[in-house]
Amino acid sequence: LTEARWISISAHLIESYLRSVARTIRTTFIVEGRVVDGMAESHLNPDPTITSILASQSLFLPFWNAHSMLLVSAYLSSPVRQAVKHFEAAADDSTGGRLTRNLLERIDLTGRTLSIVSPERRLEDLREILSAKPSLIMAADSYGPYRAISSGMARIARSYAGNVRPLSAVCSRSFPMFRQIHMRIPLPKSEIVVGIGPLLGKPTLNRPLSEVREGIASSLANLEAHLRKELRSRSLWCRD
Amino acid sequence: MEPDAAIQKIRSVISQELEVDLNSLMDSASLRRDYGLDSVAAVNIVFALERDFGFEIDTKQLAHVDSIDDLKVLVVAHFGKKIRN
Repeated sequence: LTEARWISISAHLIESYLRSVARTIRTTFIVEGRVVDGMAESHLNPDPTITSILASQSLFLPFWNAHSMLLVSAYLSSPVRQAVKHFEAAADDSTGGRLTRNLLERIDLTGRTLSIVSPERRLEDLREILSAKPSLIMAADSYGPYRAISSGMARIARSYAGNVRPLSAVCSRSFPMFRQIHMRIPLPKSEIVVGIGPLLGKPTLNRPLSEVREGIASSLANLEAHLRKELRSRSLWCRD
Repeated sequence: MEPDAAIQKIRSVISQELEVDLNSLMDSASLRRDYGLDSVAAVNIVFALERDFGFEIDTKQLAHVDSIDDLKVLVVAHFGKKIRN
């Protein structure tokens, strides 16, 4: 079995599971602290607040790698799909990154490779990203250390000139995958709460790099804590 | 632009991007190990140099640059004539 074949089969299995589960889960969005309810079956279009924010050009949405499958599940289970059509999702060219890229293509999300294998290729990939500044969804701790912001990630955020929002997700019932990353996979009939935080403006991103790294990390941590609190307030047991 | 002015421009761009005091920058030091150069910073430095010098730099060559001396060689060797014009 070649690595490419293994990646394809794995991505297919993950896609099948997530699509199946997505039909049973309830997804709630919290945008800048405001709760926006809704399931795909009951809403043909996402809430105007979400649409308005996501329609912004050159918007950068960093999230923790641990939440990537919860975000994919939320994407599959809600009408937000239409609002993120123009977004690109960054993935590296490690085995895990290629698996992610394969999965993204299967669910109609545009992937953008950011090489970690070839230094030359990485510089070219970064040049394209920093020149085009596409609306970008990206794991802020893509290849570790996890739940930490590297100087490179802080510089990417800074290049988006204040159009950066933290993105996070929590789930009522889930199981672990890749324990090192603490990635969670939702169980059927669970509830996912997705949060889009307030803009990290220029005053935050124009500070010294160490403060930018801290600012992004704390915005993600604060958003996640807020989402957990929201989930608990719904009397649901949060396992992750 | 004279070569000396070009080299001062390179030092200034690196100082600003890496948030290192201009006077403490050592031309032979490792930009990665000593001053925290990462790949995003490298691309930002390329952008700044291209803007100031007015020509395009092959980004891939930056993968082999690890000091201000290396960068000076790259700029002077490949673009010296244009700098002087």
